[in-house]
Amino acid sequence: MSFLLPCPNCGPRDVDEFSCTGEVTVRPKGSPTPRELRSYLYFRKNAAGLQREWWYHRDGCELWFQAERDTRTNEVLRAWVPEPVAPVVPDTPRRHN
Amino acid sequence: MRLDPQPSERIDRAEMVRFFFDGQPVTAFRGETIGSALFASGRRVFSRSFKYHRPRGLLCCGGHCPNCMMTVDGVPNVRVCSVPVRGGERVGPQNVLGSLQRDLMSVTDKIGGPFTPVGFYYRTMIRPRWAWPYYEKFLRHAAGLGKVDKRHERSTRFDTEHRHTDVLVIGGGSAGLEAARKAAAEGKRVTLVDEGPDLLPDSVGDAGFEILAPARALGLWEGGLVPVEAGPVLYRFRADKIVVATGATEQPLLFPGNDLVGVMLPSAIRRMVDHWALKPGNAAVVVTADDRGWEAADRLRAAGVHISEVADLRERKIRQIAAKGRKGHVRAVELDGRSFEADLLVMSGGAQPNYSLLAQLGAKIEYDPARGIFVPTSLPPNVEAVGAAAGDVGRTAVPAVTYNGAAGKGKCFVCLCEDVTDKDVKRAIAEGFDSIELAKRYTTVTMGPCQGKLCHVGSIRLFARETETDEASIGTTTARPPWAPVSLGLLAGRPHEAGARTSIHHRHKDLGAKIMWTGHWRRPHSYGDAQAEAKNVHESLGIIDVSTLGKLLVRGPEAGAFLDRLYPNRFSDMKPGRIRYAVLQNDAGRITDDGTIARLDDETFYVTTTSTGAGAVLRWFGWWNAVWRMDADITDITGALAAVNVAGPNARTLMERLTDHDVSNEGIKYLDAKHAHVAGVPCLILRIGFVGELGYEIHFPSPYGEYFWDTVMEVGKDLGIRPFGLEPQRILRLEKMHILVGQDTDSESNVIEAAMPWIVKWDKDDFVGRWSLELVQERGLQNQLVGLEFSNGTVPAEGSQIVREGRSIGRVTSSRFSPELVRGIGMGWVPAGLAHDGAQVSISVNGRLEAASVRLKSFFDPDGEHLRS
Amino acid sequence: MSVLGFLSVYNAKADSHFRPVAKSSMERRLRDHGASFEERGGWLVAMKLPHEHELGIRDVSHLGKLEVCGDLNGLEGVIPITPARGLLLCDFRETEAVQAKLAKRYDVLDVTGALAGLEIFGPGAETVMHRITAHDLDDLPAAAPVSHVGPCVLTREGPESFRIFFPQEYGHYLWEVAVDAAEPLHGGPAVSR
Repeated sequence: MSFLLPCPNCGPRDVDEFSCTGEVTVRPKGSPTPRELRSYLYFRKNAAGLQREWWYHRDGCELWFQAERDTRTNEVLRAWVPEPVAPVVPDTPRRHN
Repeated sequence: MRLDPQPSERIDRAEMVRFFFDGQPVTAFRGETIGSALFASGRRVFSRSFKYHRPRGLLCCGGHCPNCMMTVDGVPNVRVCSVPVRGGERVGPQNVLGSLQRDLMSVTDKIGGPFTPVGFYYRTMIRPRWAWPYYEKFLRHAAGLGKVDKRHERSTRFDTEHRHTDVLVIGGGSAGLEAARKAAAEGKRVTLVDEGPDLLPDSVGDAGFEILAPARALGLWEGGLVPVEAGPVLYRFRADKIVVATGATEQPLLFPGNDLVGVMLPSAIRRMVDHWALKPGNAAVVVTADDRGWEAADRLRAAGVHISEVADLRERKIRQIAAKGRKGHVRAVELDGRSFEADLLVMSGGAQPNYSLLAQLGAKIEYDPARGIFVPTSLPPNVEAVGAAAGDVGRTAVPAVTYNGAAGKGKCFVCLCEDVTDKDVKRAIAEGFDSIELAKRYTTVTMGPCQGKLCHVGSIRLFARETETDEASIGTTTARPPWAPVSLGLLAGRPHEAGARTSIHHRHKDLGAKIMWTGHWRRPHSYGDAQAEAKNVHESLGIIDVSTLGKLLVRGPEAGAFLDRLYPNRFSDMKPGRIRYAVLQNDAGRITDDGTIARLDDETFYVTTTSTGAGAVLRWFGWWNAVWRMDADITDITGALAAVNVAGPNARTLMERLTDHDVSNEGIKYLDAKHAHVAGVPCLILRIGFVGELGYEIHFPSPYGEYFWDTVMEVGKDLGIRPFGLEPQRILRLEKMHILVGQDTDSESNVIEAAMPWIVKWDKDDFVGRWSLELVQERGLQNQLVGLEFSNGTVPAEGSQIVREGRSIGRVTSSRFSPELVRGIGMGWVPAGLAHDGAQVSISVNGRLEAASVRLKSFFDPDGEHLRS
Repeated sequence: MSVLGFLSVYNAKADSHFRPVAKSSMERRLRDHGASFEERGGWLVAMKLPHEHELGIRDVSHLGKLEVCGDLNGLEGVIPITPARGLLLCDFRETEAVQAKLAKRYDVLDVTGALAGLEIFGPGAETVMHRITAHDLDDLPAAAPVSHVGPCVLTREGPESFRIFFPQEYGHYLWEVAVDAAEPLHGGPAVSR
């Protein structure tokens, strides 16, 4: 693999600079049944095609972001920082990756 | 030997240089290649072939074919036709027994032929099985290329250079130059690479773009990545756009005797006459499918070579060609029964576009039956093909697949590199290897040093004819990098290892520490006597460098809540200045790391992780916060701080001497985190006890590492201070039954079965791993991590099986001899039913059963009196 | 001293008993090259080498380094890593004052001890950089890996002059890598410019 991944901060960079934690999953809410839990823990779509993934710019700006990648061609269609689930308004400036 | 000065010759007749061939001096003109100088000296046989040891001479003079491979200054498989003479080189033949003229192994050509058909070693050399090593040794000796001198020092320094460019043009022929000029005129950053020897950087002048030559693009990868070999430097290009102008390779014709010395391709004639002013022979026959043969004939004529015959396959149908030779040299050429005296046969079977690089990036390759060549179509978006590489090869005839004729005698080679004949391919098909990829692997056709440049098209066309299919439906075999053979040293690059060292590292080395790798860190295993170092901690005072601990800051109004969600334990209710043990787990309930968490103030937590887990924990924290987006920031400060642990009964006395802070049990309690100046350095003191004795873990700015260590060693001298390494630390922590994540736990271990159920705060809402732990609770305990006390002085190896009635029921995860307790101790997993103090188990040690008893409380100081003292 | 004061090299206090001295993680390498050192503002700084190279590799770890978060617009001299996070360099002796001043508007973390610094300058510096990092030198400053060490902060100080700030624990290693890469270009250690 040698494709370039467009970091939302840094622009296109060698994929070696990033860590990927795989496709975006949804953590169950409340108390999942054992079946729901196992599905969340172990089952992945593993799509041959477009896939939403978590990426981390480990050797660069250290940003966590999501990217949509075609697993057949490694073409990355877009990369973005997901919106906060709940609005967070920090009253002091904080460390921003 | 030399012709009169030629208009475009590349030799400097005024300057002579000398090198050695087989120990004998050879003179050369400055500017020419080793190959041309050898030819000028009268040498015609340049190598012996791979399998049959047939004499081979110059064929392409372009660095493609295997015929001129020699060993130069200990480097095997150098194509001397394209390596300029520097002077002083020691050049020698390879794969010969005797000399190039008289190779004793050439007997395989005469008598071995019928006994060594394609794939013979798969069939005839398999029994008796024990004899294979001998067969193998013989085969490896008998066949092959140059040998690597294993005792040879690293002779060449190889560097890797990373480059970015807007447009990378591969190939410096007219089409490549044109494309480069155009892109440069548009203001782009342009680099052109050419494998030479035709293009000279200074012949282009100030072109407005960079030229790398001689240099070879080894392959095309996604993301516009193109490694380019340029002598001792591997350029790793990233290009927005790639222009492939790799031209076409002249193809040989297939006829009996097509490998004889004196059979050449037009490119050889061009370089010999134009560049090196050499007369390639005395009388020539030319057989050609395109204009290249005519151009060669013109050159030869001008060089004074008698042209016996020119046969243009576009105008004249020829059924049979045969090169007749004596001692491997061409003496006569037969065309459809007519014989011509000649010592030179120029063959031009048309030119095959060099599409390999394009195919590597996913271009489609299609057969053009009208021209008998494969051409690239549908290129990837960032790639362009121009010139001959794109299929622009001029008017050409489709030569016959073979020209054996009716009474074809003599070997007709499809693949010169691997000595594969047309009969070998036919035989492979007859044996059932009826797919081109299978036949390729069985016969090894196209798998030699030329990488199929001279045999790919020919072998596919032969295959198509023999299987009665057409080339288009067979298609090509997979094009793989490298496009040109490359030295492994070039791919390996510089020999550096990215090791992390603490700021105290050199002090450990000064003290004679044995250094080991732990993850990416270099750490002291011990300073020579692990047992004594461990004992010294119990008796007086030990110091260990723990700067490698992962260190994270979690800051913000929701920092405590964030940690509560990540860990099974609770941290939001901690008082500032206090510490808690922390075990990290994932949602599957598996233990992934451990460490301590200190609360520095309401919104600031200081998290330590294992030394090797720091990176993974940082990512884990960052990932969850990218999901949750809580008001908490995570900062890795691992390298910012050095840390040492001073432990032992004399630790408090030492601290009293080093700091004004009250270090009594009231001043700094067990599990307190306090700020203080120690030896004048700003520190965070964590009172924790991984090694079981009264201890202070002191964290301070890394640049003070050596100063701090030196000062503590000096101040503690009369207290018996002695450094201890990782190995004694492992003994000490085992005495306390403190787990090592990854050693005592694996990817199946959870906190409940790892004997830490107390750490789970079930009254919390939700935390990572909660649901999985609930399932463990529901199913009940299966196995448990316990202490093991070994009897009879044994220390079973880590990983030893715990057995009952001949079956494995568990395993030992840690084991050491404890000098303090004077017995072997360990930890291991046993069935939950055996997890009670005093339970007896058997451990398999070298086939014997050794007894051990289960312990649930730590071996040393089970009530923690030392820790809290 | 604030709760994170133990991160700051400048917080050391010399007295009659103790005289703390800060060292760069490349100190031993320079010593091996025959460097002589002097104490400058609490740091041991290499002052002289038996041989100064024109293509030089210089240790600049003793600079004050602050990580600044917030709206960086208008903050002079900051090396941006992201739109909201940057690295600010200063004379080591001014670190405390600069940090105090910036703390009013920004979240500031003293990373003086966390990062080591290398300067590569002189004829051939660009080639040395090309041989130790895959990052595009036309795109500086940037956070990017250098010879498997990341993240580093890379800056261009001039046509043939660069700086690399990187996790200090790799000082020994990266010094070796940089000096080795400079060797075929007749480069090597330097202490002055």
